[in-house]
Amino acid sequence: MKKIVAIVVGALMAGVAYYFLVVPYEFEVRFSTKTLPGDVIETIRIWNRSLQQSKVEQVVGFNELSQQIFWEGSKYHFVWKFEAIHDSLTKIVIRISEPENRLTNKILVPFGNPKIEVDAAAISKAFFDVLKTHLDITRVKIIGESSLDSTLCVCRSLKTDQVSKANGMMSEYSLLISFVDAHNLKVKNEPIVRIEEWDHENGTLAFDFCFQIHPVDVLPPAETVTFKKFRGTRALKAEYRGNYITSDRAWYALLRYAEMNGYKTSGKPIEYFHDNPNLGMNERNWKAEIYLPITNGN
Amino acid sequence: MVGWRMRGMLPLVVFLFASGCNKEAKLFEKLDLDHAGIAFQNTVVSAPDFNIIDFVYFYNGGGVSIGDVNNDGLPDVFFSANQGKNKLYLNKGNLTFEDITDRAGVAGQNTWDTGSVMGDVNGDGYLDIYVCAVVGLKNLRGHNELFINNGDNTFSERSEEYGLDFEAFSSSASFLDFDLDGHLDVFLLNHAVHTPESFGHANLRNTRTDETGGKLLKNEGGKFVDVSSEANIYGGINGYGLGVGVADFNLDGYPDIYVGNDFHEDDYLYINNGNGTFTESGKKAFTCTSKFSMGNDIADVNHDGLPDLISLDMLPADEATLKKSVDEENVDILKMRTQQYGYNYQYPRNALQINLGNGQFAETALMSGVAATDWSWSALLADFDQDTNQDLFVSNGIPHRPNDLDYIKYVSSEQVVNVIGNTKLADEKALALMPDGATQNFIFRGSGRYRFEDKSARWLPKEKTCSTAAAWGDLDNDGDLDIVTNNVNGAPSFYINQSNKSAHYLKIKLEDQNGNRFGIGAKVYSYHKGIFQYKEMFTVRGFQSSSEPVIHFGYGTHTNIDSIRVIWPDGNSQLLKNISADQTLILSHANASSFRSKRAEKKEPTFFQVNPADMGITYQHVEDNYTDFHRLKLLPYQQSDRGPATALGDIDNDGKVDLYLGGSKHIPGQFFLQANKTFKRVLIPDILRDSLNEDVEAVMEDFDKNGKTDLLIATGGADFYNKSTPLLDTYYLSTDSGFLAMPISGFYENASCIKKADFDGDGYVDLFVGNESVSNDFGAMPRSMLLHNEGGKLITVQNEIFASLGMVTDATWEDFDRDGQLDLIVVGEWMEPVFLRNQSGTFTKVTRLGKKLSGLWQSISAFDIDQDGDRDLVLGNWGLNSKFKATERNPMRMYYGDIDGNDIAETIIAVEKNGHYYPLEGYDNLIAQIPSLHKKYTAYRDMAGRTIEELFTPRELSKMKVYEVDQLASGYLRSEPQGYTFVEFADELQVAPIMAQHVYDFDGDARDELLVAGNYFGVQPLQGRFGSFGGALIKSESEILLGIEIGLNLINQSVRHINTIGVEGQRYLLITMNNGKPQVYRLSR
Repeated sequence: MKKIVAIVVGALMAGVAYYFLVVPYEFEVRFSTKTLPGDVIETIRIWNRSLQQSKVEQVVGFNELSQQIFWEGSKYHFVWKFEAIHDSLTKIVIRISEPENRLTNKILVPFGNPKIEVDAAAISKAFFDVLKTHLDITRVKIIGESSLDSTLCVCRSLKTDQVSKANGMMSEYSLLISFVDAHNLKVKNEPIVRIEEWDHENGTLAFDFCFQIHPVDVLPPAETVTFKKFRGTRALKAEYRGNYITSDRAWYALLRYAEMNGYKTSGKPIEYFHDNPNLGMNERNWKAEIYLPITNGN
Repeated sequence: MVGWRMRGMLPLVVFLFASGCNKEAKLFEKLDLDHAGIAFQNTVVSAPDFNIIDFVYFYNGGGVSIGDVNNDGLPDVFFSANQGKNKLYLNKGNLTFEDITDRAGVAGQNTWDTGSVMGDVNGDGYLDIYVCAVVGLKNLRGHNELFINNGDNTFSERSEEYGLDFEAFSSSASFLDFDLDGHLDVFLLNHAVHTPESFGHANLRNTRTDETGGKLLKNEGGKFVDVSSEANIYGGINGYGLGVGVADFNLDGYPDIYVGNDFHEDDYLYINNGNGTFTESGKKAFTCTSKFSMGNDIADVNHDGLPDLISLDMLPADEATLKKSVDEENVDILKMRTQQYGYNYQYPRNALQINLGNGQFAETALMSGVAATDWSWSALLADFDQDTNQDLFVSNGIPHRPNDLDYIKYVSSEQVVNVIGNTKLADEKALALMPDGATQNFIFRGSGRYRFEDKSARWLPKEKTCSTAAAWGDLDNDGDLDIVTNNVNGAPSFYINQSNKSAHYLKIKLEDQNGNRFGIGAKVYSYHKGIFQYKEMFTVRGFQSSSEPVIHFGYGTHTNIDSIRVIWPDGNSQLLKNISADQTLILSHANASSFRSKRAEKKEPTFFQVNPADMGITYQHVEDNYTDFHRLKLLPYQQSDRGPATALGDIDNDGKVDLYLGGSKHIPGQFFLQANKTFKRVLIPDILRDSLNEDVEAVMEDFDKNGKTDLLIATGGADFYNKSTPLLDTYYLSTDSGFLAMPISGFYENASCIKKADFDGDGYVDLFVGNESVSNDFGAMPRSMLLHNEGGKLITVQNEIFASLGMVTDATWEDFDRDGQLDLIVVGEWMEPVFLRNQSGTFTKVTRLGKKLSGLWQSISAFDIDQDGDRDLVLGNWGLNSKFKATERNPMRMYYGDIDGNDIAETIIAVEKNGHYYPLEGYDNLIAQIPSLHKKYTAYRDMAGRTIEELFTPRELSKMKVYEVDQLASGYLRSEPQGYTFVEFADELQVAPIMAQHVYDFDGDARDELLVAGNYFGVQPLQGRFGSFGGALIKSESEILLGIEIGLNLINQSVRHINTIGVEGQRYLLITMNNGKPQVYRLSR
């Protein structure tokens, strides 16, 4: 009996010691969402911008993101864990700690309703609302294998944060349109974005924002823009509807689709924009076609 | 003793104050309808298959007409109802009425009536009644009905006999004698309904249809014949005619017609050519019009003898309703509609068009205070308080608002758009989402000039109604004008005017000959105590209604009228002198005699326009199509349209003055070299290779004194950003081997002005270069520069002071401290005029203003406007005719900073309303620039009516820098011994920004005058279009001649520079415009 008690007490003490000394967080929140981890990560990055003194510290693949959040006078450390259950469901676990009050929180959490618990619920709810709005107003439909034609473009090359891609496009749009107007170049089809470098973990991009133009005999001198000719290619295609700021939701969907179906891809999406946001349409209806070039012979 | 007196006076002061407050009684008392015997109601009942979703004009209401149908001296009242029966109420005196509808036989047979108007169609001296109907839509049956007055309180419906039994979508009609043959003709107004075909190019109006658009019906011996095609009257599928007004706008004796069209179709101004045809002249006449045009009215509001016009729209005055309702279309759609589809500029707010007498109008509704009267239907301009000035009554309200943004968002969602109209449930939800739109009617007191004062709360009973048609008449024969409105889903309102108790009047009834017995089209002029009034006899006013056929004048406290002149439609006239007020004159054409009006002595113009191409100046400035609002959606105004640069100088060193006219981005500037009375365009490759730059300012000067003229071009354009080379200003030094281009390094701001002066007296001309903004970061402090000329080298000096002046637009060198050294006064936007005192070449900021004077200053010049021997400073500001609003007590604010942390700084303009600050922009634009707001507020109703402090957290706002403006009026700083005092110009100079000024002795009287001009179009559609300023020649503070009086043609032109240039001994005025051809005028002297 003593032995059993000793084992139970020992196990309890080990548990308490583990809880106090090893577990690196004081509070945990779990929920699921109908999108892919990459999309959740980008949404966190966008949401993070609206928070004061908060920063995304590190992103590890599509599995983990750590973030520092300053909320109602307290500084929290959030570690987000993501697990893609299937194409359209991600399980999210948020492990929350307050480095300056770790011990106090560990004592209070099991017995009361400490501030970390209130704040964690509020922060998680705030993010959940943002994510829900984002998912409500965007849609991605995978079309499957497709192809892209060769095209001549006039481009501006940009390096931005992933979440600032649309801002970059807005800034460059007028320079491009005034150039093609000034030189009477005939624009064909819709403007495109070609990703040249994508660092998902740091959330940065290098890309070309381009107008496709009809071929001309002599290209005009180009001091502020670059002419680029892109070769045709096989590509996976998705249709995206929603604000162009978050069109990378389709990138993650294509990457996942490629992975599940054995395609090797360039990992550098190409976007064709069908609507002009300046015409004031409902952003839910903006349409873009997103391509991910296939690099294997599958 | 002193204490006692003060204590003793206090109650008296309080009493006086209190009695002063109560002095202004309600001008109108509401009539008790039960007592009056009025039982009419226009009740509109929705059905699942016929409601506001199926029929866009479901709530436009019926009509009301006032006129004495039995000639007993008491005006009677007729109502038409949409779904119910018409009612005719005979006025029995003492504001009691008898319903004689059944006896009279005027109840009508139609299933959807609209407007009703009275007119003596058959010329028998009895008023007949014409009732319009919508027929052929959703099983609506019947035809327009004409009730001919039998003279015995009975009527006979004889529309078929007269050819007026139209089965169309009629809304109203107007009686006029367009061909002056002595018989009343009819202009019938029909409205379009939405079909896929009714949206498209403006030329849709050229193809006539039976149901829509206008019809001109000529009275040929009692039968009305459709002469629309021959007369050039549009009747297209896009003719959404809701308002019709008739007046002789150009005073040529022939009545002209104004048609207010709803939605995308332009309003029409049909100028009567006097030969049976009309010329639609809207685009030429109006800088812009109301967009969703409803009713209108025409009267001379500013006592200049010219008919002015107000056309109503539906801009809410209430902040919450405003932000929940459909906003202005965005800048790209406006561009597409005007440039590709051929429509005029239209904005969703009331438009007050002041007739300038040259075929053009100045639109002043925002400055006049009458732009926003919510869902407005009927406008009535009349002297309701009898103080000699025209006041404005506006009926308004709608049972459900279909322009509610949450409703629109619902019905335009993909799930709903496919079932709306087909599914009862979706329809019901949509209808439930439309908020109630019953509102208080408006009334404004006219000032006799451009301004109106809102007196709704003081003059009208407090009530919320859906009042549509409205008419006036003197129902109680007490001399003042009472108002009757036909209300949707309610009893009509009878507003009984009480002003006869405090002010005097004269009423005039006309007895004409032939078929036009009521003298429709006659003009009446009144003169008393130096006040001139002018009226025309047209009864169809407002919306779907007609008022009493009587001319009414108010005289305030005066009881004697110096003279009255009547000019009958045939041109005969009679003059009456020394008439007592407070009576009704009945004037007969039989007492008139032939009359030739003396034309006002035509002033000799100061400027004679010549074709610049005839002088070889073949230049046209083309602004590149960069739209600043694409990048910064909340910009208050563009920065990219400040050119063209204009410089005069002897660039080829032949002793004659040449021109440099700059180009916008990608478009090279052009030189015009003077030779033998003309100019020759030449290319100077050394200079023109920099065509990437947008030239906004330039100067020519021999800076290095080598005998060759050099050039400095300042650039802007606001498109290139950061450290883009095309943003650098360039100094072109003329050398023996050509021009040497030397960019002025380090200054990438958008330039605004270059002002030259040898400020240190070293014999070399120095420059001040003003910079206005930083591309892509409006609100950031641009650095201006002082360029010291060191033997031909231009070196920036005193950067510390010149880099922090503000958003500079203009400057002038002036020795304001009279120490013999040229000082500098700098003006700009969101800043006060800056006085820089020059002490031996070193500048320090000094104070010369007694009070705050931050403005959106655009231009400055030193000119002795008060003729006291010293030079005052004339300041061109934004003007008062915009949605910007600023006073010293409640300045306009601009919040600047990166509110949403996306590394792009935003600007948010906030203006005060009822003690609180609200963003000027609608929420779609706010959300487009600050997407985080979308997450905070998911419905428009959640955001609407929130102050700036409620929309954003204190923490967010604390990140923003706040700029303020407390003066928007243009005016002058009067030079006084202790400093400068600001004096505002009159309203005529406040209709648009004053962008350019030039001092010169234009009329050769050996005294300088100041010519000012402006207009500006680079604003969001919510502001409209500031094109109504035709320039002005300022001789002194009391003598200011408007441009249209002196030969200038600057309405709708955005002027940037004014210069004078001599060519072979003749002086010319050269005016350069943004995005247009320059204008050249020969000076008269």
